[in-house]
Amino acid sequence: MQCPQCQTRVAPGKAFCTKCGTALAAQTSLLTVDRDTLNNLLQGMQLSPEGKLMAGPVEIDPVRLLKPELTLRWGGYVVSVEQLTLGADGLRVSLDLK
Amino acid sequence: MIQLALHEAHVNRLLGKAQVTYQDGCFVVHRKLPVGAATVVAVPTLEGRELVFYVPFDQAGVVGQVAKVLWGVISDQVLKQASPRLVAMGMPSDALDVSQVTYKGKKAGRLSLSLHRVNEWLARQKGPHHVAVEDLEFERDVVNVTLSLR
Repeated sequence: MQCPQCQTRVAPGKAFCTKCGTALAAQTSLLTVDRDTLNNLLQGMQLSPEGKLMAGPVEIDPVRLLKPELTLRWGGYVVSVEQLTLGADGLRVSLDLK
Repeated sequence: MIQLALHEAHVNRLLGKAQVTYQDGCFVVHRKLPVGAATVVAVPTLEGRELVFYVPFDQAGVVGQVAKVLWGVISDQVLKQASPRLVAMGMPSDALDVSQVTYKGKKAGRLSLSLHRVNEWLARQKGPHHVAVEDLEFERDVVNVTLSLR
């Protein structure tokens, strides 16, 4: 499996990343969207160079934006957002699929 | 770019009850036969702009014979069921190809899906954005999908 924080490959079954110590979910998929693609997808919002989500002059908390539905239903599956990180280089989301 | 690293467990959840599982970077096809059951491994790889699955069946003894029979069943199902479905979705008939080849010195079934055709089809879909498949990697416990957005 891959550490969602530093991308280090970690042997399956490990609870923590061997490089950075990040706790690893047993079954996590990772979605990353780069800055340009994210700005293309965001309508009326932009990712600032500092990695902040802005709607005009107003900063928006991406987690608050998704709440209360951090669990999404998609094609008969339930997708849970485990961790959502927004940075200057784009978006990184750890997902669980049930 | 959009990159999705799909965990093996999630790939298997998406495969559902298709009698196919993803294990150690390969797709394992389980089929019940008139007598007993058989398991065949399909090795996925990206060759140029084609997603290719190799199904080696040049093995000694009963295992090889069963795999050969199962490849016959799989290729037949692909030609009779999967191809018409893709055509019905608007995909050209040459998007999917089934053949018999030599893979790593052994006889194998080869099933290929043209990503060029898939992307042409995706580009024709309605919507504000068009997604294209750029890359696919099949690792031991993760399938990596790279998409672009236009």
